[in-house]
Amino acid sequence: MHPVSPHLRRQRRAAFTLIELLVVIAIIAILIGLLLPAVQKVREAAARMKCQNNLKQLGIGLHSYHDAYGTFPAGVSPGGATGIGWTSFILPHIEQAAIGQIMNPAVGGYVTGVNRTAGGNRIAMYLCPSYDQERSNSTIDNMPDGTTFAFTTHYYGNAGPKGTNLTTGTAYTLNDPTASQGGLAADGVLPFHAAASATNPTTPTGVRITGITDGTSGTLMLFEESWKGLETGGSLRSWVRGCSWSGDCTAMKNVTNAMNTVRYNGGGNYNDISMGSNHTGGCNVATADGSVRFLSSSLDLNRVLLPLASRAGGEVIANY
Amino acid sequence: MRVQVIAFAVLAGCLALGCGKDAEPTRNRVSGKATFDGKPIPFGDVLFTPDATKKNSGAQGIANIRDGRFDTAAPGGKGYGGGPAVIRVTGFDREGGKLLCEQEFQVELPPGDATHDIDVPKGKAKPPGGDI
Repeated sequence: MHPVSPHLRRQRRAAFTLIELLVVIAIIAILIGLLLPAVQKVREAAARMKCQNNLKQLGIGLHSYHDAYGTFPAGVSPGGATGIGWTSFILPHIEQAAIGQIMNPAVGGYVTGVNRTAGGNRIAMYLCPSYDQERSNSTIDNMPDGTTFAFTTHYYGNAGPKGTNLTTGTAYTLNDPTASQGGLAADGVLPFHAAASATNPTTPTGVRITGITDGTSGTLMLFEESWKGLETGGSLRSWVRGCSWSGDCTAMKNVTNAMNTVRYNGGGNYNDISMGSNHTGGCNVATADGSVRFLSSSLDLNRVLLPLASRAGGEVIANY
Repeated sequence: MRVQVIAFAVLAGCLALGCGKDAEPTRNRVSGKATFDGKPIPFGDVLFTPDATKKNSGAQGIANIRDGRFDTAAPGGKGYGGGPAVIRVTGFDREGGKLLCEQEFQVELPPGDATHDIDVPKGKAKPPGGDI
């Protein structure tokens, strides 16, 4: 055998062969293929974190309101019309005082004058980045320009559970169960009226922290309602919209359905729209102590979700 | 060398099993006919909620009604956990049309897959609360 001359060796190493190049390109392609889904996951994780932060800010805003007024906000309904909701009352407490100052609970409902046009302001803290439907999808919420709709909110107050308490076997309390939308729960943290009543209360009252006898860390205050499927049919409405007595309620919802299940169907289930989100495996909630946690979509409705929603039900809640 | 092989096998086993996931609740298929006063309901939905008054719990199910039939396994549906249920039927004369009926029933469903026909008696429709 002839020893390979140094000159020849240098010549052979001067370029990559086709096979070498193909192998390198294939390895790079595999690495990119591994990376791309990871980037999407990170993007969603960041959106979920932003969403949790929004809930945290709203929880602190509601506590700031409680510090100022001694109760959590209540729904108002001047003259039987649908009033403005807690989303309007806490504006000064979430650094949106400029919008808060133009709103007026006394003008006769959310569709009138300044309250209606306030819905044209996009409040980023009310929108979860994982869900791109940022506006109301009801024609009643159109803006004065006639083409756009008011912005919506993806966070809703817990009016309370609707159904039967598994521990005691009794039904949870409701404000006027004969109402067209099935009534509003009264056993939550942000109900229309804190004590269930069969007649329209002249002055809506809010819930006090001392009234949350199930414990503030074990009672839901806010939850997400931002899941794919709510885009049409009037499930999402203006963020200004509150409640009307014995009718329908936007800012607060009954907890009676499982996550990501029930949307508004045009009948009498508007107050019962499911909580839920586009995050994988569950949705974010804020409890009455202001802390934020992620609830799994596999949680049992009657054993966990309803008991979590009641502020004074006295239930024993299994691990969740 | 043997230690490395064992360590690799343990690592591969952990990766294959992955992290512990929450157990998904059992869901069963419920299907059947949905009629109002004996006539098929053209459009609507049926909701199956475990009946807490009978100490039942589990997964809540939903199914769309299309031309008088419903099936939790059809698109837009979710299976029901089984056992005593409160069924809520909402029916319309067409998509986006007039509300025909909206009624809740307490029914006994078996623990597994079930076929259950629903007839909503006439006069049980509740008008929706105007523009909401």
